[in-house]
Amino acid sequence: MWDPLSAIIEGLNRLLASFGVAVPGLDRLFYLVVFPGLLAIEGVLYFLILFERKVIARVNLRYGPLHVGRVGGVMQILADMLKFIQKEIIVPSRADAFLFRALPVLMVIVATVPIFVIPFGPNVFVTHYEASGLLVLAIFYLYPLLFMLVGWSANNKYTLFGGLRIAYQFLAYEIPLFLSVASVFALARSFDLIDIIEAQNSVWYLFLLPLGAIIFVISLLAELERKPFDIPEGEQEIVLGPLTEYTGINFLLMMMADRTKILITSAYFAAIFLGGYTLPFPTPLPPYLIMFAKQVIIAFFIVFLNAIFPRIRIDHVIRVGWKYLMPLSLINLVLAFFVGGLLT
Amino acid sequence: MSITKRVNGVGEFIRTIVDPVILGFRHLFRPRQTIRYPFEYYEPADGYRGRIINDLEKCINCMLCARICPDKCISQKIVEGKKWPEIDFGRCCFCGFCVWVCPPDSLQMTKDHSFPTYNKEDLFYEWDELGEYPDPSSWRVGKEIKQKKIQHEMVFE
Repeated sequence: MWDPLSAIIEGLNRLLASFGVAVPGLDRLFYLVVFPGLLAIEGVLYFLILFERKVIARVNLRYGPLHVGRVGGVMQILADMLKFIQKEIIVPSRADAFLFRALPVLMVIVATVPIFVIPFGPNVFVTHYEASGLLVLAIFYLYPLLFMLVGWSANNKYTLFGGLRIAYQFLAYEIPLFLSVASVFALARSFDLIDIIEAQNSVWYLFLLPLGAIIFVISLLAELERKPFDIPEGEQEIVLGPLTEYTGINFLLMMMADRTKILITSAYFAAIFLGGYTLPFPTPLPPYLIMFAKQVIIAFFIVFLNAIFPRIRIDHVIRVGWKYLMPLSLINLVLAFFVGGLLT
Repeated sequence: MSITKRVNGVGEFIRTIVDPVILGFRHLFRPRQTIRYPFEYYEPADGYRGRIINDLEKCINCMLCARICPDKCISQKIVEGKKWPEIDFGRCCFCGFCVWVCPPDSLQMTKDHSFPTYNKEDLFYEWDELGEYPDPSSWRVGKEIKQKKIQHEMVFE
């Protein structure tokens, strides 16, 4: 099998050995820092943001960024980042200055941490944890709480309203999201993402649990605060929601955290519903590239949806979550037990 | 009023979600409706009220234009005993009264809508500057705008 990743790690190991240095667990470190981990995420993030701007412009029949960089404005995001970095960090005088400054960094960390346990191959993961599927969800559920704290710490009515909207939306969609994932756990009889992926070797859970997949995607869009459910950041109503008071690099960090969360949850969706690093037919591709491709395609699709939908009113959002998605997700859980009984 | 009461049945509800996605995909391959403005020239419609020029051979030096100007941006300059209009485009509101009142139709509005400068004083066009377009090579604003200026002149001719 064609396997560039282990060849790179092998070469790195040999290079270090020639200097007389032996690094134990170099492959794990490589996974964390370079490929499925930080550098790959940041690289995809760059093109995700560029893609978002270009594709929204394209759907609006505009050009989008075009001027910076030789082809298609590829350097535009870099220019924006430089602009953000050189702007002044303004802390409102009545804000909780420590929390206000610390939270953007914390949010980037919280958004990135689940990459530790998401497997990109039978052996390509940073750490192996028996309840990794649950752990990703647990870390993922920290994120809206931090966002509420952001809204509180800036001490501004718009940020506070944004935080409260997040609380409402989060409570309404947390339960359907968890129950749809629980149906997958029930079907695979494991919390381990590797077990779940191996169980989808022949048929994806998307086809066994289509209802669960739909509920998961809708709840995911709500939790990510993407376009049909972007009421916490409603630009026309509450300036930018919890992000209103942020300037400069803090704003950049919040944007990064937001997009990183899209990438991580895309990988999670690929793992639990789309067979993760496996394909139903034999391929010469290495498993981590399959997983990476699925992650990128799903993330880009979520961003594409952002260009299309209008915003739903807040009472509609809450009603859909409690009245429709929650009973449907319970039905889906029962269905999952039936399907699991039929399979075994 | 819930969203399910506005649409008839589940099928239409699903269509309200799927149709925009399909439309969005179609829009990705449609021609764009905007132009890359400083690099591509877009000619304004006929009757566009742009920068004013004065045909020095037709002008009868009556200065009715200065009298009717609501912004008082047209001043007079006496050269060899004749009065010539001068226009401060920083004050001009492009109402077109001076063009309308001009007896020999020597004042004309062009389609030139962009003549940026770095100084406010440069917007004051003296009597002989009103007579013609300035030489594009004397245009100091920037490469792109200069290019556009050349294109504009070609269109105008």
